[in-house]
Amino acid sequence: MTDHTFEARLERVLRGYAETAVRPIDAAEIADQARAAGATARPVPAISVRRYAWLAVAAILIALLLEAVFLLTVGRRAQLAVVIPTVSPSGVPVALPIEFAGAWIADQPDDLSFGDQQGKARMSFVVESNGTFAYVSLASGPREYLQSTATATNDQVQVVARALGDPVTSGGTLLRACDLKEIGTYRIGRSTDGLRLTLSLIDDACPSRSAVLARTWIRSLGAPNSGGLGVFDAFRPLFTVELPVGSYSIYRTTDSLTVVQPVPEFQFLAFKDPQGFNDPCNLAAGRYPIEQGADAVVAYFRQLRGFTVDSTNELVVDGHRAVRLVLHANSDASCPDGGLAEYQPKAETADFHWFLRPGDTDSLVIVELADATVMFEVLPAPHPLESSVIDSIRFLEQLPTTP
Amino acid sequence: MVSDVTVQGAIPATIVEAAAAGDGAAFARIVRAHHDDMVRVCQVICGDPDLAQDAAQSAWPIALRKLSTLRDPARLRPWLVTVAANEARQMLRRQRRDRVTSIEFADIHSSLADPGAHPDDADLIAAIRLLPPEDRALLAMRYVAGFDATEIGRALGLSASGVRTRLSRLVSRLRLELGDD
Repeated sequence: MTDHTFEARLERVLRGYAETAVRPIDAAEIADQARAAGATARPVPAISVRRYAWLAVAAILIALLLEAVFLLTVGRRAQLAVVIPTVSPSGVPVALPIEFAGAWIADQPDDLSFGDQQGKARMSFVVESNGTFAYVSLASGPREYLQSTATATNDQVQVVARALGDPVTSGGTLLRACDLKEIGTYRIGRSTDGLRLTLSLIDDACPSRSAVLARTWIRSLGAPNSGGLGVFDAFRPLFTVELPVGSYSIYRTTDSLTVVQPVPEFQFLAFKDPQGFNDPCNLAAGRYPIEQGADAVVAYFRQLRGFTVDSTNELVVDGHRAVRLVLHANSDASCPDGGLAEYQPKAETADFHWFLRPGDTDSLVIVELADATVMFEVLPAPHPLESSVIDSIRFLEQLPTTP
Repeated sequence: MVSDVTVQGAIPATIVEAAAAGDGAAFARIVRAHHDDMVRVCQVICGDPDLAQDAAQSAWPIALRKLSTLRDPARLRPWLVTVAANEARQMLRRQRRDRVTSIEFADIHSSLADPGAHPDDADLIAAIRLLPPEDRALLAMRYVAGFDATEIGRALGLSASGVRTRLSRLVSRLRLELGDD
């Protein structure tokens, strides 16, 4: 076994071993615990016994004050607790099933805005992996607008605001924020392909919540997900793709998105407008400009030191010309850092790039669109599911809110 | 194809700043984005899923307290992983639970249910678990977190060349122990 082969095996085994400890978490709960621990971990000055009584009284008063401040500030931000239940034939409320976990996206209507939000952004309705916590976020910022705990009964979801929320403006009307623990109930409609989740208002005392939630949401694969059919919204054009059922993390950079399942290893990568490097061992030597089209990408790899093009095959992906390019980094090639730099998306401005280790193989599917070159890869390459995943790709002009 | 994972999954600087300023939602988003990465590294160091989760969770209060000292938000991921790795090593020392001889082969095999997995992967994990925690941290940061030598050096207080040398010796040692030289 060569050094590189052994290192590849070491990496694969370590990643699989590491994955055994990963479990669903409640991030909000961990964050709350961290804040609580941080507060109690501060150094406590030495005090005399005589002052204990006064200290106890002061502590109680401070605790009451802090609780009031929390409810008036943090609480106001953490709006509605959406308890979205799994469909339960028995009528007993349960957590949302795993297929609901992840992000559901929708375009923000022109006449809908959150608080003092400027501009419009794509909205995400996010259900955490334990299926009991949900919130709404905007692509433009970190704010979580509708923090909720959700439960489902039959074909309904009940959402309960965990804290006071922000007002929402809809159709020119300012709608009041949700009150703490205010309950809303929505009917769940799911398209048979799993792509669309429609929340229809049944009853909600909080008008700002219903203005946001009651709509059709599209399943996104741009957040941790369990595979299946979803939208990749890493760049324009959007596209849908169907991944094998699994447990995926995501890595997102400018004009690229990768979904990763360590065990069993499966990755799906998408990039827009790949650009090369003049020297695969030295990024400082500058980028190698690659023109639009699959042939330009193939030509780049044919001239790139340390790489060998093994084959090219003509394909059609969703009606567009495409080329499947199989290449490898030569076994005798080496760079000081170990990997040979391949490319990065054109819009990437940092050093972020993809590389190949000597002896490793890539199987790239390069698709020619009217105004972009989009590249896909399924790893480890060659992968038996590559063709079925690539065949499932459908490019979109906009989010498919209607069948 | 391999991505340069040292910059993968970056949280926008605005979120880091908001979290450092006390925004609970922003901090929760950081937890959501990086907790699993921290757990993975802790698992390699601790060799125990429960302990790995404990180490990652106990790293968050530390991270929250020190977040405002993080000058470059782009380094959030390696910084958090380093905090967790240190906590994992501290936890091993405190709890004396480094049961390197207690290897649950059945669990290892079931966890490596990759159809392409090599049949003697359990031997490799056994060899890894016999390494000192500091060496396991080195392996975790390189092969699980995907840090380069410079980043690992920053985390462990070593020079980049020192990291490369130690990694090279570690890999050689593992190959020797597995009869793979």
